[in-house]
Amino acid sequence: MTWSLEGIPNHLADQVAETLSRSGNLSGAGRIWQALYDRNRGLVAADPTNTGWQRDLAVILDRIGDVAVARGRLDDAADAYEKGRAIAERLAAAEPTNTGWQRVLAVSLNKIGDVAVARGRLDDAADAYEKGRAIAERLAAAEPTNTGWQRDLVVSLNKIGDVAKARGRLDDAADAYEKGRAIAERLAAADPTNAEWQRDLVVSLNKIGDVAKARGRLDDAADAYEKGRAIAERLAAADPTNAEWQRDLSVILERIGDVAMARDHLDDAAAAYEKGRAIRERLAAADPTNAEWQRDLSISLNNIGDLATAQGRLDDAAAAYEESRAIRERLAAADPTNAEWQRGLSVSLNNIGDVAMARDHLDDATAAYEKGRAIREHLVAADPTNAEWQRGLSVSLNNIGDVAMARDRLDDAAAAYEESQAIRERLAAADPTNAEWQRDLIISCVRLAETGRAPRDNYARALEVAERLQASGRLAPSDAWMVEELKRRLSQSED
Amino acid sequence: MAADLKFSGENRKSSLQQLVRAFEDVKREAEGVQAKGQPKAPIHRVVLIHGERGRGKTRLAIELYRRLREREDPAGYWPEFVPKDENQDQASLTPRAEDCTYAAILPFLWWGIQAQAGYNPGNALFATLDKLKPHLVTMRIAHRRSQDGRSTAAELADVATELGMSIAELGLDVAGEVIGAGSLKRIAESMWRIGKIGQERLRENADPAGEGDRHAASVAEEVLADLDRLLNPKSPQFAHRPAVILIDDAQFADQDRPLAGFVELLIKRSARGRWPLLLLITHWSRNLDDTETAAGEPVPRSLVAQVLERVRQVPAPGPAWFGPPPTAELPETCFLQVDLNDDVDLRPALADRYKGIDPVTVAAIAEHAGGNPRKLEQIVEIMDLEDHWFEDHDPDRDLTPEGVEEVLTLSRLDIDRVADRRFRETPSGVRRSLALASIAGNRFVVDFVDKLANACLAEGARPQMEEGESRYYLLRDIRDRSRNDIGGFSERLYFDAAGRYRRNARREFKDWPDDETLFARLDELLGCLVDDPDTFEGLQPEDLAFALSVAAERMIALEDSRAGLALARLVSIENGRGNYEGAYDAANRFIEGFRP
Repeated sequence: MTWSLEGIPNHLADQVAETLSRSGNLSGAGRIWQALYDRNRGLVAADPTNTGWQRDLAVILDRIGDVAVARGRLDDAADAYEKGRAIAERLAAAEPTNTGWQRVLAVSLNKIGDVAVARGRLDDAADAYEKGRAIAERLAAAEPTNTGWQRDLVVSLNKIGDVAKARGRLDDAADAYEKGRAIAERLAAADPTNAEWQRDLVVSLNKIGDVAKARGRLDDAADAYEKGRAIAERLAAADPTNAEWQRDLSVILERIGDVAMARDHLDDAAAAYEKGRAIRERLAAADPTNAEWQRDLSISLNNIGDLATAQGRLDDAAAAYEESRAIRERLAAADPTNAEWQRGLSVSLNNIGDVAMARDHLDDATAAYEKGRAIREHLVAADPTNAEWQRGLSVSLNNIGDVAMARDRLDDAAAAYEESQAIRERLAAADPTNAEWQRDLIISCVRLAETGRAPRDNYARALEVAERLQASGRLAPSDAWMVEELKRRLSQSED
Repeated sequence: MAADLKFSGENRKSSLQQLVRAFEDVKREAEGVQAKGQPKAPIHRVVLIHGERGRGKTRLAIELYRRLREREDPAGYWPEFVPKDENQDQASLTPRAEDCTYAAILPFLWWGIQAQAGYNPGNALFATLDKLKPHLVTMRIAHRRSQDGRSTAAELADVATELGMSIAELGLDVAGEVIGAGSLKRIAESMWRIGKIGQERLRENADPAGEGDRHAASVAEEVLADLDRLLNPKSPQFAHRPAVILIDDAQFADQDRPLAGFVELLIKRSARGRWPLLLLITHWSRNLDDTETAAGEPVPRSLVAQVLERVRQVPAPGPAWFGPPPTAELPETCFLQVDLNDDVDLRPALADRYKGIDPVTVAAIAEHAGGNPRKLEQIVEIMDLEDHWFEDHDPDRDLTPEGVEEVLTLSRLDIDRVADRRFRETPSGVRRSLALASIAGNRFVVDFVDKLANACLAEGARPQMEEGESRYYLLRDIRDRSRNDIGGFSERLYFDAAGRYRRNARREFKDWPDDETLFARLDELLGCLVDDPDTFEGLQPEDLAFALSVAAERMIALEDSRAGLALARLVSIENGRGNYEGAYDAANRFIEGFRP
């Protein structure tokens, strides 16, 4: 027995699809929305002046995009959101006073930005987020008592900050996050019992801490994280059975540990990491089937491994990394199609390789790095458009090059570094605004030069990139030494 | 169930003792557990009561309720379980809020869920929520009351104030001891809507009349979250009281997948949270294992049987396992099976009911009834109608010789024939209305049957159905329209008897239509409903959801493509009334048949 959408009104079909989506049946939801799109496109074509149908079509496209994102189909998502944006723009332009359509457009823009970020297109993302912010600001200014508009503006500002941070524009990022924090603080102060608003403020403080840390302002970072911790502790204490709040607290403790590590306050870092680990162990034990909580615990173990490495306790570090690897192996084995679990396992293998290198166990290091590389090659092959996977592979190749260097196998090292450099050149060219990728390219050029391959060319290329970053204000303060050092190396190198 | 027999034979006594011991285990643990410390083994108990139809599974669970009420509830929070009460038949396994005494402190939580035959996904759980919510509120305040001695009214007044509700409007008499069920229900509903029944702090500015901020995606998850806050020893709201949850006729969850899912979640959550919970599951024995139909088609074990198998399995640790050895969600030490398939000694129950009947006669009747409590109940129902079988027409005296002969003849019949006999005892109008109702199913929307009667027989059926409930106990939930208009046969036996009668009704009524005509009329009505539900004024969302479920099933069977529309409407109705699991199930059925 089969049926189609014939005789089924739009609102009912939409509700069935939305219900399927909530129940986790994304492909089913996508099929219905696609069928609805096909049907409504015909109606819109027949009567382009009917704004109701236009709006329905924009909403359906938004839903199709959401499902595509959830299924990891970024090209399909971008296509749907762009079509939706075009309709929303027409509607908003035709009736600028209609706040509903303005908001539909702002949401569309944010989603386009999110997909652009996932595809590594930061310029496109920044462009979309800025447009979304402009609308959100207008709405919030027009109706300051509407907490929904205010909250939308916080979301927009956070997204703009995220992109600025990824592009190395840390001042811009800090500026956006601070503006978001100011609004979040007002909302939280207006209703201290509203846990969601308190939580928004924690998110803002975390982001401010992150950017302060990236700017090397560790005291500011610690200050922001501590403020966030105070709120998160209150929420967690108010309802110890609320796992999400417990998890929020563990995330802040992890950040506090990171900043303490960066300040070389290793005892403080240990205390924070251990508290975070204790929370995550409780959560993971309470529900061993919750993969996210298992993953959180593996991150805590990695942090503890990093701390032990910093303290020179390499055996302890190796043990923590191995524990983390065991969890990630279980996760990856339980769901081999989950790319995030695979990536997590490759990170653990890299950590194990790093400790083995530090202990001069070069065979163990090679084994771990090679396993990591194999996983990352597999990820890249499965989705060549994913910039994150490409970058991960380049890191693995650099690690393999490092081991070869330690063994004085300069040709092997050069081969690995060259492969890595090729990937990083591609990424850097694809998005010259991504400061992290530019920095990666500098490292690859330096490594290759150190093997004796075209040292002048490689140092020159590295210097060119570093100077460009510096000129645009995107060279991180902690990397300020790079330009002078590269100049020195270039002057001493020979062809 | 009208025949309120007390089956206190030795074998049932021992089964009851098993349940009581399981409750005591849970209660002892509830009193002993500490909020701190590492996770320990689960303390819940899961009891599977199984037997064939009529063996008294539900009755045994109700006997436990009675026993707990006597022993654990001296202040009388819980009411007597009175099956003959028109509003509290056997299908109503949780007492009505109106019958409880709230000046008393809740001693234990009792919650019964009746799985229902037929496709009506998620409804069994959803339909009992209103009965549960007030007790969650009294459970929330029970521990504090037992420590500080404050009255329920004072506690509820605090809660209402914190919620921003008007005490005057609620009609709360803070100085008095009598708490109106209406006030409690309104407070419970407000707390439920904002998701705060089990939470420590209520929002000062919560709008109890508004839509609230409970962003529920799952009724089961919301109930479990509240139960976790009240039953988890680590929660600040731990009530320090045990809970008993009864899932009755769990084999019917095969047509209500959300209910089977809830049972699994309940067992897992209670294991991890170390809830002091006694979970009773009644289940037909025949569906506990894989079987075959007469034609050799495989029939898998029921969904709930599969759930019990899964939760009893110890998970494999895996090569990279670290930490303590894994344990099953339901360890064998926490699981108990009570098999009720052995014959019951019916003599004490019969002698208790009819104190004047000669013991030899009692023994003969009991022997002929074959140890089947349900069959004896049918016989007793008929005996109650035939008081001329007793000396001086007095059921407290002995049977006359003719009466003895009549009863022994009855007891030699098989149970279906006894039910047929009971059916024939009713007036012709009642018989006609019940035969017609059987077209719509074991459960039905009364208004539909009434309309069907008007269409097929040019007369209504509601008054006759009401008589079938009030005088003959063959139907239930017809007269009480306080919540919905869904009625049903009080026993599957009577539904079957009505069906047999319907197929031969033309022998008695010359105008009786054949089944083909009757079903065609039913399908016409269902078709009208699916095309435009607004044409059926007066139907509550619960009635509509049930009727649309029936319509979808019928249309799928008849290969009518409007089944898709029926399911889409069902999704909408279920989302609207908050039965999210019902909506998910219907949506997934929709997509199974969807071909763009």
